Amino acid sequence: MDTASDDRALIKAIAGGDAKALEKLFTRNQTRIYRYLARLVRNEAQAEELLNEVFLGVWQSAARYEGRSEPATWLISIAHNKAVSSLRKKREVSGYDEEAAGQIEDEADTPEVTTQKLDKAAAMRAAMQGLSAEHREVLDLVYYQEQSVAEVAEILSIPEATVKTRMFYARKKLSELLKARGVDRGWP
Amino acid sequence: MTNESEILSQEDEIAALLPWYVSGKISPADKLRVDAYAKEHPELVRQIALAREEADTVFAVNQEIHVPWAAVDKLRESLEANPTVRMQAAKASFIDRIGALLDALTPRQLAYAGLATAFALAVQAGALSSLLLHNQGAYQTASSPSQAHGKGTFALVAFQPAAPQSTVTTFLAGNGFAIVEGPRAGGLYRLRLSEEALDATAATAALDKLKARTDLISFASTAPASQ
Repeated sequence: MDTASDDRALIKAIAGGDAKALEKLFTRNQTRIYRYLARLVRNEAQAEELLNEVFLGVWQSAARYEGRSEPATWLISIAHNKAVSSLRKKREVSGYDEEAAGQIEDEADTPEVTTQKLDKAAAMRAAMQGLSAEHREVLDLVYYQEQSVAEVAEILSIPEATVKTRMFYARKKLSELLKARGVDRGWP
Repeated sequence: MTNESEILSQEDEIAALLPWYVSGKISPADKLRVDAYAKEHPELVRQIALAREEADTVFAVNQEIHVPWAAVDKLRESLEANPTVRMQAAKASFIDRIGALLDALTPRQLAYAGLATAFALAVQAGALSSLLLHNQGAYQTASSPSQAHGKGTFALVAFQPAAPQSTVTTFLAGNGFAIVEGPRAGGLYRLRLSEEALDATAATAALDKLKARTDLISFASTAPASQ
């Protein structure tokens, strides 16, 4: 059986109340889900908490999984909803917009200073950190989580055309941030 | 602000599709479009290379994020604390966990990870083999009484929450240590340091190896053979 078939069988077992199957599904998927969460919320303790919530959510909703989407896509969808909800609550409580603060901090270095400090690979990493959560997320979903256009659309609950547009602007913004760091990609 | 509802030009849409083209998760129809565009625009090769650089960076950044060691224990505790949940008795053994981890690695992820993942996989596989061989082929769960008690030299340990599983596994297997029971209350695991009853000097030396890895282990103490 392939990975998806194995995970489908585990979700079915979880729906029947098999806690061992939940642990196995957790072990098989914890790395990819934790990384997705950690990249999105940028806080390890919060990501760990959310990881737990995701799989408690799986325990409670496994019976509703109809198998239409890949198990990985279904799990990331749950993780996305938990993370977005958590970020929203955090913003409401603190009134502090981490994304905006992150952008300001990224622009503090002049291109000359930054170029001295960073080589191209490091500049790419730093530029990615400067992207908004939405743009970071769409890049991660495709490059690391290996989700198709349709799957990303399902996870984010947006039309496929919007997924492509968001990806275009994520890549464009990445080029702009790199340029500000002295790295001209020659695109767009 | 970007307008995500706008219609992209053909050139921009092709640029938007390149990440899926590179990841291999592009639809057949979109792949045909990119291939057709590439035939008429040779400069697209350069753009594909840019997308590959992005993919490599995203993968590298993700690979540096490690799941906290005790994450599965936290989930178990949450389930047990939930009065509406009826836990079935069985708990996944340590070897089950490693096996599941290896099962879940897709060929694509392995290909992307390149040498780094291949090395890590080899180490993990080696550690797993070592654990299994250590059990002389007789598979038993970690909580099996015949493993957890009886002849040998044992220790109680607690792992650092952020210690990567693969590093812990490699360290334990490399020293011939094996988890035979746990977690107990407080996150303690029972380790078998040797199948033989070590003398005091050898037992202390084995314990010192554990204590020296403060990055992986937060607590280590000898434990009697039978409890």
